Amino acid sequence: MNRETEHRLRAAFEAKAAQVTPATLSPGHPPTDQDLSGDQGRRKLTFQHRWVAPLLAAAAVVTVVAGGAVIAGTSTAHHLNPADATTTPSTSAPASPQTPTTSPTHKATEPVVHPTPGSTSHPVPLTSDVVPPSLPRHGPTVVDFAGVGVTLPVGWSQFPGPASAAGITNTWCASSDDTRCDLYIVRAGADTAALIIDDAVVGQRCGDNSVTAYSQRSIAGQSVEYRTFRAGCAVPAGEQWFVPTNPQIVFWHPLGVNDAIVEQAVAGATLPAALGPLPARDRGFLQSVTRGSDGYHVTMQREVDLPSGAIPEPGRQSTYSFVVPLNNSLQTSCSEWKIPGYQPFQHCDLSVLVTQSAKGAHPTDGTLAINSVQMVLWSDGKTIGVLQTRDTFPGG
Amino acid sequence: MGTAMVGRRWSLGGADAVDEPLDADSGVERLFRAHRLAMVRLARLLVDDRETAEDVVQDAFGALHRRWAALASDDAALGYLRTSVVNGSRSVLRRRRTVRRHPQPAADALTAEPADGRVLLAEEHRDVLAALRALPTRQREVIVLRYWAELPEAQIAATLGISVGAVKSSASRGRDAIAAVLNSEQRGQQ
Repeated sequence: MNRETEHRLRAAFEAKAAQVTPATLSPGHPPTDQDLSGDQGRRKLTFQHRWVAPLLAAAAVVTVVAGGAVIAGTSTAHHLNPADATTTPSTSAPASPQTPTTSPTHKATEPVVHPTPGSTSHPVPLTSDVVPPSLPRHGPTVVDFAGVGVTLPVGWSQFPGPASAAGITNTWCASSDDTRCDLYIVRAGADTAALIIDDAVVGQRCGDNSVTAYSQRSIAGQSVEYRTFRAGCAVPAGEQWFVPTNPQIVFWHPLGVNDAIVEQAVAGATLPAALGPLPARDRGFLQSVTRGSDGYHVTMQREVDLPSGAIPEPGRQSTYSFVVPLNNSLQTSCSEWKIPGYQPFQHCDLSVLVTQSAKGAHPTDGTLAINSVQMVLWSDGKTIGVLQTRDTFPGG
Repeated sequence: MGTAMVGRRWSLGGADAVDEPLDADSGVERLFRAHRLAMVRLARLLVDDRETAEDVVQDAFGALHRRWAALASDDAALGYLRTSVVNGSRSVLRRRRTVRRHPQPAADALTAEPADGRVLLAEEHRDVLAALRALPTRQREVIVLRYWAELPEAQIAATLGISVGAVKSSASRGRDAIAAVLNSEQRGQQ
């Protein structure tokens, strides 16, 4: 950065701007209803134009300015002026930036094309950043969806999104172009299956591991896992921010259009409060199971799909612990550790795993070490609801 | 209505802040008194001559008046005003290019800096402003909004209707172009 150039710019601007003073300004008055009333096609102007392009009528200048402006019909109380042919329809911004609603309006003037999983006519163009409309329609577009708040630039619209590949229907879209969805916001709820953290939530994946980048980030003080995915099937390359705790929140953005805008908006998003510290869904390997007076103390090491295929995830503490109350009826498939007396998929309670864990990394009785079996965990954030071997939950 | 610092040259609220909604005449008049000077200065930096800048700003206030009912706050109104000024200035520059492609005998006289303006500005400033005039319109707008209005990148992006990335690249290219001109002039003088 050239500091001297910047200094000179500022100094020159100050000097130039200082030539305009209240004393040197032409006398002027603000336009009033009376000034602007009259035929909508030829607006009456009472102030004098000294236009540098004498070839063009002054009214044409006004038309250019007004023609680019958009009426922001942001609430049902406001109506587009049908006589104002120079304006364009509004987008579906909420009624007020200060009071976002939970049921944003949907722009009905043009058909909205939603990309569908597996569709061969995916409308997302992989071009450079799209230029939004050049005049503000109302103010920043504020998304308030399922407890998630995102502020996007003026001129963006928002509308219900398509169902995700995971069958999640609680999806919202925000876009600078109504023919596509630039930012998907997905919330998994109690009535839906918990989302798998390293899967692309939006679109249909064709391969087992299409993750191209991974990092840990923070949004609104909550830990978030960030991934990029390569293009596959009919879905372009995309990036995903995943809030693993309950409620699971996912932001998905198809890369190539409005990347910087979306990244900034997501980084500044607000999130619903996590119900608890535990992830809504996870998978991994048990490291230890012990018994305390308050319950079974379980330590698990996460397993995630990364670009390198590394397990566990590098650069982060990948194990965490939780307590299962003694009176919890949680059970798992003890046969997976080849524990004698248990039939395939026969369940047992965690006390059996306490014994197995105590055998250490190399049991001598022919059973498997405690960390030999992949586990799937589901929780509401505070309480483990399921702790099962992965084979019991195929695809988990 | 809330108060907000939007760049260092516009602040809203303060002693003149009112809580009750104003009709268009009253609201626009209040903003006209508070911001006309700053808007004319902004337009002047973009279009170069004061009279044109005043016309651009007057048009912008006219457009603001027509849109008043749809704007929920002073923040929104000010943003709309600023964008209108920038767009109006851009239209002026576009028309000047059209005029220059079809030269009229009086075109140079109409667009030239008034003599008193040249006298009042120090030479060092004239060099910078000449370099600024040579920039493409987008870069010029970004440079003015960044280094005179001191707007954050996100605000510039919203004003111009472009991405933050485009703001950054335009600012970078504009700075580099101006620096290159100034450096070559410096070498020429040595």
